[in-house]
Amino acid sequence: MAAEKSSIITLQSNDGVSIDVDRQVAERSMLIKNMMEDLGDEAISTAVPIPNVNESVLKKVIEWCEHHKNDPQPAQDDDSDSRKKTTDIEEWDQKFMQVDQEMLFEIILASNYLDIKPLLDVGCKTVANMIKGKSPEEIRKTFNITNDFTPEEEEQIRRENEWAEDR
Amino acid sequence: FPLHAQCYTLLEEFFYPTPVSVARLEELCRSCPEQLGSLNWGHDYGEIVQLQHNNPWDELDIATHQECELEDPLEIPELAKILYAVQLDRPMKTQINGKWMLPKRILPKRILLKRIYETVANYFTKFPREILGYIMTYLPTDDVKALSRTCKELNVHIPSELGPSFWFSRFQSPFEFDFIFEVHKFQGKLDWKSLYFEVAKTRSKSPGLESRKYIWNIIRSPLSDLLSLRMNGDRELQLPKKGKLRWKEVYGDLRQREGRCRPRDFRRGCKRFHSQSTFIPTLRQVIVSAIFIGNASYITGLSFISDKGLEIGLGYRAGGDKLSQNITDQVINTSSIKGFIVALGSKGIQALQLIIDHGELSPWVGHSDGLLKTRRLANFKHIAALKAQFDGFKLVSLAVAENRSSST
Repeated sequence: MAAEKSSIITLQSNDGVSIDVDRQVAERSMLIKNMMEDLGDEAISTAVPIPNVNESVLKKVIEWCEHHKNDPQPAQDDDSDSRKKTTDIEEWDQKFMQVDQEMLFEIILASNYLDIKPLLDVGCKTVANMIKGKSPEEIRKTFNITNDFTPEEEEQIRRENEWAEDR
Repeated sequence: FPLHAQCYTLLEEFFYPTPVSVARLEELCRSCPEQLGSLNWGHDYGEIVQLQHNNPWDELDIATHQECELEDPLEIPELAKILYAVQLDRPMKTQINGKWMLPKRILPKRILLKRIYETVANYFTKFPREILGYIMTYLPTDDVKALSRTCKELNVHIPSELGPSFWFSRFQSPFEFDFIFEVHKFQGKLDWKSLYFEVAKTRSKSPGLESRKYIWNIIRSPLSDLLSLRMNGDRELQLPKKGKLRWKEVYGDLRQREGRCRPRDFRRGCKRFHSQSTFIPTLRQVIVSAIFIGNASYITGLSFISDKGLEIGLGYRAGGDKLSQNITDQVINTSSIKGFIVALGSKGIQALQLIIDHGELSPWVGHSDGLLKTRRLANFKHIAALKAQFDGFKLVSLAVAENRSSST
């Protein structure tokens, strides 16, 4: 029964490190899951290159997949939720995301590339929560954004508060 | 029935797909006194009633009630027109509000490609645009505007290059146009960006949309906060024997004490619907829950976590996955309770402070400013038992007792 699912596959990060992962864990990534379905068992015998992700990020992503391996796969179009948007993050995920910003942004990029929607959600919500309620100057400070406006430009954007459709 | 049919439909739409708990709604209404034809729950109904202090130490009563004619919040003629105008796959002509309409010609949007000079890159500008857009679907529009003011490149990108999923998110809860629930049922493809700007343009000129938004805001807070409260633990929890305990009690202006109070005579004060009592074990934590409505707060429930990790819940706590910022759970670490300092109003207990292990005071839970505070429950060595009485959402009376043996 579970034996069929418990095979091991090898992922290779872009800095050449091979990491063995339980197939069920790796298949949290829709990219890998689809590839496995297309290639069948022959994929299991060779290492799968993940060209956009380095070792430390890949390990972190696998850690997330390991913890969430038994979560139900998200439905394609979850219509009942389409009216609500929440930035609540479950406790384990909040702790998982307590990393430096470089890593946070790398996790988001990797989850986008590997097509792990729930991890992408958690990452984007984390960034959104870091922006929420802050002034432009506070956002700059938080994310190390250089203010590249001239004083005149800054004065002008301060005056344009309402959005116009053709802008 | 306390609600108009239209308002009830809005209530259903607000909570969709969760059904409205009519029993809870009824319990909430029965908990609030009726003044000048409106239920007083400490909220000003968006400035339609004026709340005033009858006595300086007392709570707010409804002093004046403004007559207001609200436009039908459900059938809004302007909305049908807007939706037709921004439908991408619309039929060539259609009948709206009894009139034939021809589609307004929408010209393809010009996208101005602005060349920008001397920009400095950062995480956001280096990000793929679709991910940046995705992050913004989680942000209130004011925060998106703040982000756009941080640097040149983001200022050009936001809002002109934002995709349909961002504009769609503005019609999701809790963002600015979530009250236009029709968009989620609309059969046909919508141009979400045009819809956003059409609604923004029309809103202040449309009495129907204004009245919809007004009612929606009252449902959002305080009504949905109140409806999210759930009885925590056993409603019938009682002490096995009460004989040896000497009780001290504080309570709001309880109406039943003067005999039965008929609903139409319930003009002030509070009622009790159920009573719970328990012994207090050696503790690890106490959790005090409070709800904030307008400028007032009410204690909704108490929870005692024993040193063995068992929980004794009294009264109400926020249930479900939705956590409102108007409901707080204050966790107080202590092994015993030596007493309470209670801020009391006519409607019940509005705020309280615990006296814990070494006689220290916990922070206040709830707003205590300007209220009568009593130390009647403060002078104990060790509280052994506690009795709490509740109406449909709040604590209306609190009694404590110590063992006779420990009181000497």
